[in-house]
Amino acid sequence: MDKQVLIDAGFDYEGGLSRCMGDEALYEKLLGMFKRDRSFERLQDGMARESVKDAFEGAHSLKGVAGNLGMTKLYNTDVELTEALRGEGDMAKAKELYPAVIASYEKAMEAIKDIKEPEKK
Amino acid sequence: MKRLGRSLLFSILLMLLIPVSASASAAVSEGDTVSENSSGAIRTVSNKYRIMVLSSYAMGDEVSSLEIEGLQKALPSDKCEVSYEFMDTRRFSSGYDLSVLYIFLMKKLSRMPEFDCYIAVDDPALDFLMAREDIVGDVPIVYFGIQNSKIIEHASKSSGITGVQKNYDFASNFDTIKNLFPGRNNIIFVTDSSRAGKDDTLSFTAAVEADGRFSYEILNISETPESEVKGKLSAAGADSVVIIQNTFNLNDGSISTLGYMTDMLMPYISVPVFSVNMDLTEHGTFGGIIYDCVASGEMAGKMALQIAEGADPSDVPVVTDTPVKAVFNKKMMDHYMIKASALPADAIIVNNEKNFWQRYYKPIVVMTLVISFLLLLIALLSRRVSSQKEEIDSDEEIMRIVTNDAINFVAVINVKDAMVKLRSGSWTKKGAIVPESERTIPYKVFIEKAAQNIHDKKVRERFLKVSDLKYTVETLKRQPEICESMELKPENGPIMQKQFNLSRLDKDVNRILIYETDVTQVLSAEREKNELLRKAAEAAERANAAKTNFVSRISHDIRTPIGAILNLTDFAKKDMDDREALTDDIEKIATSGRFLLSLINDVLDISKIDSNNLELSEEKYNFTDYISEIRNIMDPMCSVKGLKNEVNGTEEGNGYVMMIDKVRINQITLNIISNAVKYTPEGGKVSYSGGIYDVKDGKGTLCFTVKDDGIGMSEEFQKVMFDEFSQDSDNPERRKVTTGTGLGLSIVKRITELMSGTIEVKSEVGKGTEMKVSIPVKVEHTEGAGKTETDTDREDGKMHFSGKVLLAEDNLINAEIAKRMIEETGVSVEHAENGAEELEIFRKAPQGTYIAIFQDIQMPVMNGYDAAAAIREFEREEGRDIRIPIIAMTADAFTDALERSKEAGMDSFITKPIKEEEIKAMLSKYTEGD
Repeated sequence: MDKQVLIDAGFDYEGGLSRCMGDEALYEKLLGMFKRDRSFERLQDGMARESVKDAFEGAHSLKGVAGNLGMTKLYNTDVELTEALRGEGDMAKAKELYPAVIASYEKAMEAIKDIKEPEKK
Repeated sequence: MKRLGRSLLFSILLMLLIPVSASASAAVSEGDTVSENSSGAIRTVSNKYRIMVLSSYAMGDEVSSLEIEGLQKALPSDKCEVSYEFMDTRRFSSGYDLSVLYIFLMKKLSRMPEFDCYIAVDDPALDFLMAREDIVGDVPIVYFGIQNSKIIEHASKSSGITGVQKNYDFASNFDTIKNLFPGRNNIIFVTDSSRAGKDDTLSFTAAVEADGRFSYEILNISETPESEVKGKLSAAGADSVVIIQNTFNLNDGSISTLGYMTDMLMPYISVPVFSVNMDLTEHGTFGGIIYDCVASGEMAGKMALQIAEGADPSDVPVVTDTPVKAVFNKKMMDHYMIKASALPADAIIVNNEKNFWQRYYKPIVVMTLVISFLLLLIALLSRRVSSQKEEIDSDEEIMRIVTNDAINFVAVINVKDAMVKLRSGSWTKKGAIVPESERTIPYKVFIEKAAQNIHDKKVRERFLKVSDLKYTVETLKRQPEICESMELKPENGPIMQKQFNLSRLDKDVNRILIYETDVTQVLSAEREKNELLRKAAEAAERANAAKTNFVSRISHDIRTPIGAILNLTDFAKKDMDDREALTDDIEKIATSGRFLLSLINDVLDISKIDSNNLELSEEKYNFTDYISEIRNIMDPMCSVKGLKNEVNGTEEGNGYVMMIDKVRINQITLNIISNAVKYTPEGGKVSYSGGIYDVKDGKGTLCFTVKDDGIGMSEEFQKVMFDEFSQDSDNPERRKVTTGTGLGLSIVKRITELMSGTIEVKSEVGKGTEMKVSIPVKVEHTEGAGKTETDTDREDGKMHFSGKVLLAEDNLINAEIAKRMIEETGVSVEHAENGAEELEIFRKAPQGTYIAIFQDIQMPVMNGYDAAAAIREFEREEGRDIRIPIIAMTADAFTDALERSKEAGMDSFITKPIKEEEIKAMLSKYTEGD
């Protein structure tokens, strides 16, 4: 994987790597796994159906993963969205924040496009 | 004050309710000169003409009021002084009443100064005036509103009487009816049996017959039941009209008014309604050519003024052409489609059907005022009642407030009635003095019952004396409260100490609050406390005595060897030349010296221990070393005395290192051994056996026993053997043995106890003694380089763990990271993808497989809370004694999430994204075997 590409995309490369105990191979594998992670899908679906509960679950899950992998931009935008959806939720506000999340998700995906998806166990 | 208010209100009320009949008395005004006239009446001369208006009816009468209105127009107040009398004859049904009125009126009028003119309004007034010529004298009379022909005729005979006749113009009305309603040929004439009614009926009948165009019906409401009246009116058809003339005296004997009855009857009438004597259009009638009472009144007034000014009544002719006005109701005109052009030229068209409010506002206002006054009255009355009630309530209130756990009895004494109202409840805990049904009892009874419980005669007498109500009240006037304490013994109960409080509830002592507090417990508690203090004092005394004793003993024991040493030094000087003797002396000095030293050491030890100054310093003491030390001492000690000795049973202790105060454990052990040696005669045997037992988690018990077959100890002595200076005087063998300091065993006991240990003694006189000491110690294994039982190894500063954890996380990425972090510490990881899997894996695994569980909260299938709760349930079912630590991994560090976690049975949490340090911290916290 190209470290520079990731850094240019705003990734916290060092942070992500440290969480993998310095294991570059592991970090790369996990970035690849992100491509088939369903969190964003669930968020998308929830927003489309205007279901606060489902959208929250997706956003919350995405937040955890993004944080772990050092996807800072995605993490930050998603944090706000997650809070807007917590509890009763404010769907109107969530809709305002959602585009930012989509944008940073796409950027992140762009950054890891050259990384191979690992084989499923 | 309240009473005043009430009566004031009442009188106002009264005034409002009673119909006001105005009687204006003639006032003598300034500037009048007073003189008498020929008839004896007092005459005043003033610039104004005095006119008396005598009205036949009441002031509020519909017609009268209008007539008087007219009068007043003609009698300006600058010229005339007008007085009014209202006879209100409509209320009289019998002539008798009328004559009473006459008498009353006569008296009144006779007292008044002479008038310049009388004005008689309507028949009865004129009647009266004409009947009482003696009163009237030659004062002229002007009448109006009179239609009775007889009266008119009579009046015309008198030259001093003139007036305006009231001739109803039925003829014009008939013409009008014919013009406007050609098809209607029938007239229903509504009248009554009043005087006017009778007269009017006659006039009408004469007029209608003279006219000839109409059939007619007389409907007398005084003689016809109401329902029939309504029925007849309803039946009136397209051929009829109605004329409402008189409706004053109703069938039921009550009196009404034209206006009211018209309102009542109109709903039943669907034909045009005319009126001739009064304008009833505002009540919904069609109208008519109506007697104009105002104009009549005005006319009469003018005539009266003329006469007052000096005109001769005969020059003022009677007006026979009664003023009328044509009034028609627009609404009715529209209803019957009558155009204004069809009406007479001077007709007044009114559109003034009064609405509900206009019609009824007067009675409504009056009613409202009446009701308000009544309500006010009620309010005032009820306040008085409720303030009485307040008094009652506040008794209860006070009693409720005062009552608490400590107070058993509350009552309020009402001094005035000498009654006591008790709070419901019992007098004592054991029995009730008064059943709840009899809550208010006379004061005397109350006192008697109370006195019954006082078992001391003297106290009872005093009580009865002091409880005299007057006396109590007097006392309470001087001081706010009385407090008495006394002993009570109810029939079936124990003696109790009670305190009575009497408080005055108001300055004048009208009510007294009495309550009783049970102080039995308080007293007994005090007694107990005193007892304890006394015992403590005694103990302190004894300790002090013991100390003093000790000191005196010690001083003796110290002086003895010092004395011996000094003596021996004298001997030594003398024995300078005898080497053998000298050596012996020196030996003895040494012995005494050693003894003295040991004594002083012992004393210091005891003193240190007793003043808590003795500190134990623990250090590592290898058990094997300890045993060899024992051997080193025992061997020479025993062989010197010719005793056999043995050290055995030490296998249990080998390999251990104790953390113990070296010096002291040696001291204890040696002391016991030397005692054993001391009290075992030659040929006997002393043996030591000891070891370290029950080692667990780095702790064990050092236990050793010293056995001898010496002289033993008597039972008695065994009881006091550890006391200072105690000697076994009951043991015959004892006297043969040299005594030591006498402190040894007491020191041994003290130090053992300081080490949290115990000493056990078994002994029999002549057979020997066995002493066993047990002391808890921390131990370590001596093998290896100090490895302990824990799993942590701090060699290189890094923390390493071992074991296996269960990780429950649904997100694969997060799971990988967590797994990696945990594995880095040396711990292996089993991964479950959700709560359900987690639970299953846990259940299947034997206890202790996993050292901890790390779990996500938000998981599909079964979330973290449920999984944790299920695991705890499982542990309970299985009776597992160790709870597996469950650590939540959550992105939400909100307090309610934490609480929920705790409730579900989780032990702790780490926040996501998880960090290595936190993993390690959790592992070390929960896996250190704590």
